[in-house]
Amino acid sequence: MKFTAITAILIKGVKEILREPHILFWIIVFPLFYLSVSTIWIRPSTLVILNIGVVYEDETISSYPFNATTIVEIMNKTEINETRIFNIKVYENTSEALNAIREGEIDACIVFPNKFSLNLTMGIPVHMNVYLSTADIQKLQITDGIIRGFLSEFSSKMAVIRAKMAIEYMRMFANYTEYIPMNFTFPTNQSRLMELWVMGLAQPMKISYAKIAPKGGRRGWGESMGWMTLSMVGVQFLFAGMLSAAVTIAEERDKGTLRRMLAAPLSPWDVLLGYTLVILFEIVLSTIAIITYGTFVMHAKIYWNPLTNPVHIFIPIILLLAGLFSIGVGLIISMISRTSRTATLISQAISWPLMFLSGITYPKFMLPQVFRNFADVFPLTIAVETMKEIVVLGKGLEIIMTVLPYLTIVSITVYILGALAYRKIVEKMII
Amino acid sequence: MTTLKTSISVKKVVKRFGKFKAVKDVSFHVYEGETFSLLGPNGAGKTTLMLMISGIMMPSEGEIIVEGYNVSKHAVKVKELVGYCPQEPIVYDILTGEENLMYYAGLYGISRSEARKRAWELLELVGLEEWGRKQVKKYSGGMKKRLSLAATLIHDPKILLLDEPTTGLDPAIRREIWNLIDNFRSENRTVLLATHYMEEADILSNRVAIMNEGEIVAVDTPSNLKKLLGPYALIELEVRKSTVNLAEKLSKYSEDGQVLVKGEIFKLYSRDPDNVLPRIIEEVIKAKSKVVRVHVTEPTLEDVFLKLTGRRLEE
Repeated sequence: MKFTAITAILIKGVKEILREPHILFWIIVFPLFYLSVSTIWIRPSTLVILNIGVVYEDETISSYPFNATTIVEIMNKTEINETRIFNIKVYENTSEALNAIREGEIDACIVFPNKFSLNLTMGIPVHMNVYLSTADIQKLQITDGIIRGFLSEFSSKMAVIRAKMAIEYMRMFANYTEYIPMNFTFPTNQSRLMELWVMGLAQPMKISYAKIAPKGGRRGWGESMGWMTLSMVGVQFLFAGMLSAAVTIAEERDKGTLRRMLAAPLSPWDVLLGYTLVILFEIVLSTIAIITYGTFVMHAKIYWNPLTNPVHIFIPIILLLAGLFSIGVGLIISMISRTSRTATLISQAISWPLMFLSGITYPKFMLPQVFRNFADVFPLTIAVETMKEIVVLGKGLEIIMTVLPYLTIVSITVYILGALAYRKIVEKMII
Repeated sequence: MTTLKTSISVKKVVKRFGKFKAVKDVSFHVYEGETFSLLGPNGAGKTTLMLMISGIMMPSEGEIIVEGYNVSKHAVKVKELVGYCPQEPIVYDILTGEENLMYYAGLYGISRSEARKRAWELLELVGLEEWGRKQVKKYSGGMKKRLSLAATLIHDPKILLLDEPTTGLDPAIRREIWNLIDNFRSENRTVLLATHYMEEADILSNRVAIMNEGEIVAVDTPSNLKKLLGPYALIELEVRKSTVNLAEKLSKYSEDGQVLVKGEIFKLYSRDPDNVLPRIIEEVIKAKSKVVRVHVTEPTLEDVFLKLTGRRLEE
């Protein structure tokens, strides 16, 4: 490794970045502009799918065929436009489910208390507890509306069925009413049950609603802007990272300067390392600009202090891994592009859709299912989401442990593939 | 008697790209302090040969020795000794002249302080000292070329490989660049020049290798190459309404019995043009053609190339 040569490439690259108006536009002006206008965006009308937790505290389920699981089965089959709107996950107990709400894993939880199935079969009012996450105020509104709508509709239909059954019973016993003495009263132990049965005809389900705040508190303006600010950092991996990696090498190749560089006594890997540092500098510059603007102008709530929370040390590592991933993809694009112009076009054709469909700028729950699946494995989305969870929502080590190994393996693999592609570019070029 | 030291030795070098042979069994040597030109049209294999000598590309067969180092085995060492200047400008518009030179100095491992000193020496050498702090985007084409040459000299190489150094430049700027290259010779640097300008090779070179379709067809001093044609003058006739067999009729007036025809231009060599020319014109008139222009010239390297390859350098 020739460190003087790598430093020379880095200094040259930094000067180019700082003096090229179009680079500065893309890495600073564009994200700040987008961040500003994002406050007035209109959400597209996509189908919202709710993650619902279910807890069966009911010990009478197995004794009755029409029980709590019947309701959950119906929920599972409930569709709008052929898409299931509830994604159900069963929890062992209520505290586990409430914790899942606090961690942001589910949007709401329905708890079926003990004797639910017995009461359901007996025809008396049944009780249910519904807990709603307040993490996202707009999502809360949607979740509350959908669950209330579903349960209200379910309750109304049950009321009709029960009323029909009551009429049926009345017909069956009509012949016997003449034998009922005028002064007939129910036995004391049965009268309360009869009262409840009658009440059950009118109101089969009694539902109590409670709201559960997430760990970092309700997401207000600061949290939302923090979320959006880090989204823009993610976008810069697509533009400052992927696009620059694809175009920089292709430009040097077009201009003939790459050939001149290779006439110097340094290896192609020195050149690659030099350019990797230049692009990482570009990403860092852009990240600092976005976070400074987001924090001080847009009042984003972003908290980063490794002294108070050691997990924050991982943030630069996540940024580095995401940077390496985007550079790797850029280098692969560079290999398949004959000119820098083609590299620009291919990069933009990939970057622009990814910006909107990878879950980086638009929340995953707003995306069509196929893109949600993609976002779940796309390293840049994972990197951005992890950073949001840590510095905006205050999550800890548990989130790092789940994503860091995957992010490290995928990012380094893609960067190595990019480096091999770059080696191929050099071979092709000197031919 | 002084023995000339060989600086570059090219021995039976072949370069293949798939089935295509870009360089075919080429051999020559360049002496220390000599300016040696590879003269040939575009696609003759000059740049490929340059890239192999500079250590960027390896030969498929044969060997290249630069200052005693085999390029295939010691490419890094060769790169330290050689300064390669490609045809395209190698400077970055966004940087200043000084920054460009410091960047290239960095690639050769020269410290920042040393690089700055060297950069200003070279800016002065190429007459750009007043432009050193200005961005290259404000430079003219000639200034960029001069800066590119300065960048090639940044590590003080013993050998300069200059690929088409004046292509695309106007005649006045071309002369400026020639003066610079001529100065390199006075500094006892070995210069290997690839060009398709006959005049450039003629003025600057001690020796010239004529390249055509990947092969070297002749190597000698410009004056010796011209003597290949003998003491002949070139008679060039432009005619209108030429007949099919006019070339055949004129061939009896040519010293070598050949007439080169391109469109309605006929070229032939003659030892005695004053005597032959009236007979040639008479022959043209007899063939019911019309003479539009007649030009008689002493032989140039262009003519040598034409004679050796049957094609012009610009083709």
